[in-house]
Amino acid sequence: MSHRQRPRHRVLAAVCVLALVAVVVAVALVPSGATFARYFDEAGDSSGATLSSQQIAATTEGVITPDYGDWNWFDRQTNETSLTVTNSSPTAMVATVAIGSVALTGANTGQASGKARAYVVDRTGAKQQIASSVTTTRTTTQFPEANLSWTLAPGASQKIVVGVESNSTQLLYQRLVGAAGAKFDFRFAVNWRVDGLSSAESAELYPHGALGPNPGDRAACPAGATAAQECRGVVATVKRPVVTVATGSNTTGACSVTDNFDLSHTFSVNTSTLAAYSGLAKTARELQGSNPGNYGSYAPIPDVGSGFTGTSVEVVRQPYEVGEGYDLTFTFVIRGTGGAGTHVPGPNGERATQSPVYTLSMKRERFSIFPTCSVSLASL
Amino acid sequence: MRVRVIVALAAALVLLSSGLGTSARWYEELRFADDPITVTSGELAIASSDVAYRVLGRYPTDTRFEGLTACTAPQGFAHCAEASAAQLGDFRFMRGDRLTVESRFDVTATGTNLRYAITVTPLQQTPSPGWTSEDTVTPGGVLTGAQTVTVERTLEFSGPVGAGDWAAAFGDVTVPDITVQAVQEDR
Repeated sequence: MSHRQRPRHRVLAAVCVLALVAVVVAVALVPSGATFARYFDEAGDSSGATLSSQQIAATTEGVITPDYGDWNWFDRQTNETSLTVTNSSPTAMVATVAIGSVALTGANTGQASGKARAYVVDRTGAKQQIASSVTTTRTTTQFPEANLSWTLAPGASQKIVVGVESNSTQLLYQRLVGAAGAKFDFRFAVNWRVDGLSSAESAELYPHGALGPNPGDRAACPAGATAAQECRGVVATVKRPVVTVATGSNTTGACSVTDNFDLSHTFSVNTSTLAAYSGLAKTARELQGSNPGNYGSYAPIPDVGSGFTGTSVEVVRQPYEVGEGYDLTFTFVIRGTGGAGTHVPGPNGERATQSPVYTLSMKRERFSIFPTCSVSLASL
Repeated sequence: MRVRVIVALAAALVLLSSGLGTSARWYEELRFADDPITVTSGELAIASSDVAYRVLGRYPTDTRFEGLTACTAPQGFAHCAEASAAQLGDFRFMRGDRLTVESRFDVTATGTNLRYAITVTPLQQTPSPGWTSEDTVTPGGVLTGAQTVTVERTLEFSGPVGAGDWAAAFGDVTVPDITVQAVQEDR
């Protein structure tokens, strides 16, 4: 029995082996996902480009007033200097100026201390007082943004004028004479923002400020300036006025009246007692004309008398009716011309300077034959 | 005995040759060349049709947009303009600006049960530290039939992140063409 079963087992084993081989081969022939052919195509457009970028660009420059020597030229009666803010960006920018401090340094500070006040010319053209009296270093507070904020169109610049003036009438011509050389050191921090965006939105776009992580002159930063603010410092130096006015000359008595044969009177103002000019010839000009501010058309006193003699201003009032009185004023300035070659020309090429404005008052009562007169400083 | 061996061999031969239960199918693997290859069973091809650029700015006053054709600015932007390639080359991006490149591709797809997907070759790397990019395909997912798909590549200039990369972030960057693939889906 066992002899007959052995071949049967062998056949069965052979069949099983063959079947296993067949299964393996069949599995190998089944297509897998990895080898299945797929349709494929690739395409590219022509959108590639080179992209350029730029930074918001705005600058603040401190402009130091040129040294015109000791002269106070027509438009330099006060000591002014300025900042210039420039927007070089294609978008409008708003520059807000914060004035951090004003310090008094240099020579003769004792003469200037307490006699001068610092100011900035705001957006409306008005002088905003920074410090009522500068002594040593005075920390100031920022003015409201509405006053010291300038919106600059793309490419636009704005000059922001700061200066020092006397803190009461005539000081510049009188008491600041001894303060020549004193320096008023201003510290500013300028904050830029994109027009139309809030400061917070601008800060989000420009976390370091418009100019980068280290804008401006950080050494000039006033206390409290943030890293996003651009700092600048400018200095205004007190110059010795060429025109000086004696203390108390606002009620000067340098006026005299002369009777004339035709019953007219001549009012003479002795200019030597009014304003002192060093090395300059004097002329005078009436300011009640049609264009008193036009110094280029400066002319002798035009219509009220014999004019200017070099040492006096003469106003002839003629004729008059005894029964009529008069109360007239006449404003004039005294101008110094013919400066020596060593005098540095002014910013507009001027070689002349002028006094403060004086007022000559002429008065006669009805039926009186003795007019009176007085001269006073009208303004600086 | 001999008969049984013959029978066993015959059975094995039948198993090996018949393919019963193996589901084996004819197949061929091809990688299509740039020009679409039409095979008798179907076709899948894609080609660029047109490209449009739009620049978006966040600044209310902005002279850079003068002379460009305006479009509707989405929320958060003050300006939108369509630009040609030449105008784009002259444009100077500032922080917060966005550029969208809208590229249309025409897909030809014929074949029974042919399904496919569109993928975009991503940028190798961010163009510069100041830029970010994102690609969007519309319609997305598994597609069938011929149609036009739109790829929108959004590039946003965020500018320098820290103080150290301030200068590098403002350099010029070159953005490559948009490359897409149409690939048949397996199932």
